[in-house]
Amino acid sequence: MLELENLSYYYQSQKDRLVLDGVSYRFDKGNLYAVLGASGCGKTTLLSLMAGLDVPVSGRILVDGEALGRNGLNRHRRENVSLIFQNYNLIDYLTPVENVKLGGKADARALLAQMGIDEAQQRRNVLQLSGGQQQRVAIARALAGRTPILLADEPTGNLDEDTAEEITAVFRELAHRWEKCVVVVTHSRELAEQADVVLRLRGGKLREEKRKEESGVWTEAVPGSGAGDSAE
Amino acid sequence: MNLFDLSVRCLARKRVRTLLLFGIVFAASAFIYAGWACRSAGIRTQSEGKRAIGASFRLEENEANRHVRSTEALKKIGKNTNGSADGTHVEQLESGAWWVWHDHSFETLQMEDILTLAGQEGISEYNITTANIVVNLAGAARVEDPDTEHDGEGNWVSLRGDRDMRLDMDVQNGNVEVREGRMIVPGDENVCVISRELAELNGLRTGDCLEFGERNPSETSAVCRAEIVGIYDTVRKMTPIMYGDSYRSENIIFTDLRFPEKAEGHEGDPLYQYAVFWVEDVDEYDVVRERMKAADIEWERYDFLDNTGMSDTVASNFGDMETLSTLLLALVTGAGALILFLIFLFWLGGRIHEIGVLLAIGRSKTAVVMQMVLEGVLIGSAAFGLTTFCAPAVSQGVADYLVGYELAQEVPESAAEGRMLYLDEGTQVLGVETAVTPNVVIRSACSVLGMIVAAVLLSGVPVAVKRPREILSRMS
Repeated sequence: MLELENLSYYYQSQKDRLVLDGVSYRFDKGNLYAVLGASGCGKTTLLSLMAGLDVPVSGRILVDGEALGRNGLNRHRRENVSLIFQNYNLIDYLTPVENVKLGGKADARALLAQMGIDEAQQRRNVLQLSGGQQQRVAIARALAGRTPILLADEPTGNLDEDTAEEITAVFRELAHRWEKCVVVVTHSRELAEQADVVLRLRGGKLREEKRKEESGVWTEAVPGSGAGDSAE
Repeated sequence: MNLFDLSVRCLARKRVRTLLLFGIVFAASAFIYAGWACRSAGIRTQSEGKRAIGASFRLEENEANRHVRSTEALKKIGKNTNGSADGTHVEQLESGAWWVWHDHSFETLQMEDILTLAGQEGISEYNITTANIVVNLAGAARVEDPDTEHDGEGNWVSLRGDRDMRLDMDVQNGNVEVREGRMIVPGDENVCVISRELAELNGLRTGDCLEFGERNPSETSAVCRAEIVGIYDTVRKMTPIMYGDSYRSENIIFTDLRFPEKAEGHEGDPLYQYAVFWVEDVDEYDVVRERMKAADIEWERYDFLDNTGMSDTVASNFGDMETLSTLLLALVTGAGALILFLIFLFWLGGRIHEIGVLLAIGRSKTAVVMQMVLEGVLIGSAAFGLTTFCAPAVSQGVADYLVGYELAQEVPESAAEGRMLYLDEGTQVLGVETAVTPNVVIRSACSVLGMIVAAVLLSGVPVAVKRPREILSRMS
């Protein structure tokens, strides 16, 4: 589905420090991935590269085996990936329905209803909705584009525990029932526990920490075995 | 949801911002309208000395425009250079001084313009009169004042060419009457009508011929003959245009239109001084005037006088009116664009979140900037539409102010500073007429559109040069 191939990146202001150092990994559909890591370790940068919001210093990103070119990034964002943010990022002068329509041509009302936003809420100004409701609208917008990949940056960071749980359940459903490839960057242990695969970004390397078997049992990756490690 | 939907919703739901922008574009549009309208304003003047008579209109050269054309021609020739351009000639004399002179092609009314006006509906007949051309009368004596010295002056008389003598100003005013022979009619060639005094002095009768040559004849100078077809009696002496017997009333000889240029040795280079157009139906006088003013001729070159002596001077010939209008246009457009630019730039900071979202969902930066342009254009269209209703009043107010300003600066300063405000003595400014014509609307619309697009595009530069991720990182 989405493959990172020897991806490296540094900030223009700190060229001597690689934020991502030869990261390679393959994300498949039907899975919920949680990317963990300390603050400032490059999680959001990784997500930005995967979303085509920025370009790597070296390496490449492939979608279904096809490498992304610098000129195809807008299309990539339109057709392959949808982004969900910690602070929802809804457009304040649009209603929830209009915000969802912005994401694509899917039936906005039906999507919102599926996300638990009733008709009265659909007609309100988005800023009058609660944080959880706004995040649901943001998820509906992401789904409206009918893209196969969902990238979320700290989607539960601003939510209370109960609402965070609900949103996490939505992500699981999107991965398992809607067959999406859902990648969530998070600090939340709770969310990571619900993921199918947990990855950790440390020292510029992305490593698969553990993977949940069909039985629901976690399999820890063996350090140094090479499985799931960033390519050298 | 396309760009238009998004723009309309943004404008409708961010009302304070929309109203503020609307107000700014409205004010700028009003002054842009005024600037364009003032550039083509007609300044109505009335001259005590000059007017058309009866139900006629008179077309003559505009002095200010003559000055402009002369200046432009001198620029073309270059400083301290012998040469010619557009009928203007520069020669260095033996004394070292520079002599600038204009030939007839520079001074004359344009025949095609005269014919265009003569062809307007409601005009029944017209006449063209040449300037007084002083030539040498050969084989006959002119009428002279015995008390005046004539040293250096030859046997000179004045020729006045008329297309149709019956319509000559002095005939129409009753200054002269042809009681013997006939007047000159269109199509006549090499004919003249002389004064009774000149005929009696030389024993001339109709059917005789007179010979004319250059004022200072040389051996190679040709002599032109004209047959006397009529003799006029002077009821009231015609006012001489200059001092001297060459110009005295009795020595004015009416000829056919093209004869004077032949007599002075410039055949093919006529000097038409004014043209008079007669209206068929007196009751239609005002309608015909408007119709003639709408004719497509080079109006800058002319004064167009009606029978009250009123003339519509175009703005370009009225002092610095055109310059002031242009300055107003440039200032308003520039200031408007700057204000809009700053506002858009300021709001861009507030819209960074929205821009980030749009980029994140796959909109291109071009589409984002185009949305801002579209919002500006939508506001501009609404403001411009409303301004169109107020434009005549604003334009009139600005034009009145500019003319008043020009008049206040008039004679002493214009003379001292070399500014051009050519108002003859006895000429009054009666008012200013501005018209919001389709041309003014189109030019104003283009100016407003240009101002908005320039302001929005410039303010969109920060978005265009940033990577999407940088914009998104500013959101958090």
